[in-house]
Amino acid sequence: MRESQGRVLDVAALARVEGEGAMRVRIDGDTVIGVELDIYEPPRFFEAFLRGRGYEEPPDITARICGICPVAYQMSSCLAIEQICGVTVDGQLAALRRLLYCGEWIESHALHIYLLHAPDFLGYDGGIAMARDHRDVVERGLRLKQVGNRLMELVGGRAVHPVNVRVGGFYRLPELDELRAMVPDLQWACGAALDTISWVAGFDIPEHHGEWDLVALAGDGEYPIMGRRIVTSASPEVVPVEQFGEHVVEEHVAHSHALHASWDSRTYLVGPLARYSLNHHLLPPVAREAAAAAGLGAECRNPFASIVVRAVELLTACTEALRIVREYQPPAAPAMHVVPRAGVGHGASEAPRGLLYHRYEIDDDGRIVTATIVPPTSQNQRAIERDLWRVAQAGIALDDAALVALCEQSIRNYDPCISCATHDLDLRIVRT
Amino acid sequence: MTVLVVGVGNRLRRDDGVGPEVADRVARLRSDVDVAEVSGDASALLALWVDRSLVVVVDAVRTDAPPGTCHRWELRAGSWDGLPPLSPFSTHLVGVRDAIDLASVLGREPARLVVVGVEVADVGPGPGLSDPVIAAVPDAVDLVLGCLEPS
Repeated sequence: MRESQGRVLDVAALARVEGEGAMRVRIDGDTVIGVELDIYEPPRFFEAFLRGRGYEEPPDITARICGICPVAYQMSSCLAIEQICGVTVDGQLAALRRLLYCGEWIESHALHIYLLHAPDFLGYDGGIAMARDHRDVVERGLRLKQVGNRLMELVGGRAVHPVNVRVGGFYRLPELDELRAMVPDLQWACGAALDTISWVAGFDIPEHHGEWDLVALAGDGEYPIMGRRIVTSASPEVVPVEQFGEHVVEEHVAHSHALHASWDSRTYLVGPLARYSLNHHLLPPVAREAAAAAGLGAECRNPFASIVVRAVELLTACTEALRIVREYQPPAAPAMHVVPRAGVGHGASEAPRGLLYHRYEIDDDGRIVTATIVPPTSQNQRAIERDLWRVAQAGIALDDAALVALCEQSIRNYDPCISCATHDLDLRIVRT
Repeated sequence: MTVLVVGVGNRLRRDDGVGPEVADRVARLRSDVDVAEVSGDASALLALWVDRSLVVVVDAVRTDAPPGTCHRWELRAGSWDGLPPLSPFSTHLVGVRDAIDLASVLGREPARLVVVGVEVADVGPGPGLSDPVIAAVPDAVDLVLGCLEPS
């Protein structure tokens, strides 16, 4: 809904439970004078829920924070608890974790590219309207998403909120035959992901240069999904994940329930653009070549091009999943034995929308004393607002409808947790 | 077996769990019917619907009716029978309405699709249904059973 009443550009009323938000752009004359993105996110409550709970509970409890990226919460929490207990999950168990995580990336990226973001570039109100004219393309996106769902079911027990993950590994190992049966689907998915890159690379992508630092995990010989080191575009320093809290400051802002984060007092971005730009050399060769063919350089700072980067990551996840499935040999046990001891642990992993950090303190009995969870969308909130400001300013001469569409597209560039809702943004432009 | 009953909803969002609760009860009463639960992403419905003669989707809804009110809408040959203009908002990543619309556009809808909706009072965090919704569950189960051929 839009109404012209002057000089406030009001983007409001997101109403899905996975994330609730609103946005307001205020304009004075020809100048944007304020941008506020209000995101409601539940992790604050979860940090309190976790106090007093057992050390084995965070993977199941925190998975409930997000229906799109439960695996990210499970993995970051497991890594933190395992660090406290002196356990390192490696070998085939670590490979299975990566496989499960690839399933989540495939699911999430396919949904965002095909149903949420592509309609912006092709001039549709949403994925359903787009499907009328691009049926085969949408079918391809849905089938890709199903491949991700299937991986989540096989390794995680079910497609949403997996139940098979535990501290130390898994409750049940997938059968070798079950995993190998995924090979044809994953081979198809690799081809479909390549086609996805070609498709989105052909979109008319607006020019925009993001003015923020990039922060991502450093890959350890492979494109980063789980890791213990963080790299940034601002400094050659490699930051151990234990020092995350020394660099990141979260603060309340009046207009939002989510905390605003800064890295060394600077605005920063996590997510596909950061991962890609800081770890381009670790992409599988097929993905690196496809990125080059799509016109991406080794660094990408254009948030509107994030759809292309996301497609490159989709191919990366499909390629990695195929490799892991082919190489899989069942480990001796589904999980490592984890004995609690008092201490503090830190875990980080790359959720589809960016770095997700967990920190836990547990006592000798394995009870959680404190928990801290820093999700990617709240880390990105400041960067999103900053870009929205510049996008709105650059487009100030547009009519209301065009400016509204551009603002919505700009929000979806970051695939925020509220992205599923942003297509239903109730947006009002008020000009004084 | 080509009949499917799907409970849609999140059991940890109070009344949003009414769909899975109704589906559970149907499963106990009718072992001859496929029953599934979709807890977060209704796009999964599209895969479940393939080659079904009848699908009954049970979901939490919010219109202007009092909490506990049960609705029944039916889709045959691409047209809704008495479907009110549902809100596009959903507690699911891809809402049930999105999934239905997408299935229609892609020609993937089942031969017959019935949506049983239960009016909710509270979709806040936590398990358990509110009193008016608990009281409505038997009616919703009856609506579902009424769609099925006798066993």
